[in-house]
Amino acid sequence: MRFALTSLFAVVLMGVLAMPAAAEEQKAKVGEKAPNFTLKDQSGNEVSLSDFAGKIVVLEMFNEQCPFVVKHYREGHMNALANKYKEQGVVWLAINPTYGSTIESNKAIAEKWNIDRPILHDAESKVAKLYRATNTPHMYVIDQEGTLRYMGAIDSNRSAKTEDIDGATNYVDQALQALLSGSEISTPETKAYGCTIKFPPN
Amino acid sequence: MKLQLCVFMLVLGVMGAAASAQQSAAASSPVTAELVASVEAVKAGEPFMVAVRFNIQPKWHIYWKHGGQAGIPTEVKFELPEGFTVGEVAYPVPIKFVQPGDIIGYGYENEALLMAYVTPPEELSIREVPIKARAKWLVCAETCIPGRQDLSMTLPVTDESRPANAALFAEWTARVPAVIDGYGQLITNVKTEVRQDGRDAVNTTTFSAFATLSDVDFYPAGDPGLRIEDIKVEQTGEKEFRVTYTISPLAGFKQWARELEALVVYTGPAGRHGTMITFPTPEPPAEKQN
Repeated sequence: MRFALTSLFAVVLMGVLAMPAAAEEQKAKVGEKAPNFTLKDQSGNEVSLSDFAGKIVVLEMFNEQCPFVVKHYREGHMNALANKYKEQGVVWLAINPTYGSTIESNKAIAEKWNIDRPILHDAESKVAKLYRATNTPHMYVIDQEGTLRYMGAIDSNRSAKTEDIDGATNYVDQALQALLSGSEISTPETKAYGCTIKFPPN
Repeated sequence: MKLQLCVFMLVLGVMGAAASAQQSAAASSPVTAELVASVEAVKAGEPFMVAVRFNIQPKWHIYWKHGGQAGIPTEVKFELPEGFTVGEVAYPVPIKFVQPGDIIGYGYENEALLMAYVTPPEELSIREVPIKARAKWLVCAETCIPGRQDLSMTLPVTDESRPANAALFAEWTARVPAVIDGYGQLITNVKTEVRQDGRDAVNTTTFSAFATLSDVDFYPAGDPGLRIEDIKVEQTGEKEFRVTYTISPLAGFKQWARELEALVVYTGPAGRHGTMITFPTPEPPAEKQN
């Protein structure tokens, strides 16, 4: 009897343990619908991905303390890339998934680095996990239909030096150009490089 | 006299401040690298070892030659004069860190030695041997800092063997993974079944052990086009093990390595060690005919 109960408990427990696997299915995948989320920007306003239906959206996993992120801000490269496509209606959302970051710290760095785009507060890393992000920077491009069309590294040179940007292929630039001109994205997925995201303790 | 004393005190003060500033700069780098050799002097034709020794501050880590899901491999390149041959860099058995968010990394904490064999030519016309090493790493704790250092040393040429750092090299060469059918390896009969479903595959690698092993784990190499996840290690018999893992090619990739290496780590009769094996990857999609 005791054994039967234990086995029953085990079966129920296995069922419960198997549940998160079903939720895995909805995680970000290139070619599939980008999962929706709602987070607060550096002014405390709620921003949802669904607010930008019909627009191309870039997501950028951000952490101002990471040298690989600094690489793209030190001389304004990231701002220049975002501004280049802003004129063409592309929405750019930075997401800070760093454990310990706050709306205030996001506000302070936005001012310091002249970032006029939202930096979304994700210190519990929920959206980072939903998007299977591992690094900062980790980049995503979502098309007008809401389909994820690129995920991975910002560019092809896995270094933290600003002088290496010019010779590298910027995959986000490439994906946006292809989307806007209606051509195929040649590199739809790469492995991100940079700092490991500082997730909350398990 | 009073003025002289004042100046003297001032100079002492400045020197003290400068010394402490230097100290704190050195202390604030989470990793330092130094070049070491297994000999004090080089003898013609007699192989020796060179190594970069990394000293890593507590809580920080650097990465193995395969960094795992988010790390960047530590690289060392040795440069010796013409006529010397330098072998492949040997990476000791790393540890696994499961970082918050279940991100797996492979690497080293505290100390690591990345080594290579050097064979001098049979005849040496030079009197000194300059050795250079370039080390590159990513050191991570709560954040990551990339680093690089150029190191150099000069060893005199000698007629007789003059070993150095014997204990250090003995300790770290013992930590270099074994290879299948090689010396000191404890696993055999490695087989991998690839169950391919579309582009993705589930691999099952099985092997037998020569001894009782515990803490068995599987650290796969990476490929830019492949994501290797959900690694599960099971013991299926007294000395039988089974590892399952998923391999999913990234979107858009049409090519990747058809064979990758993996390190099987374990604790055996002689402590923690590992054996390098290889495993096949899923077949890439057939090229369309034009």
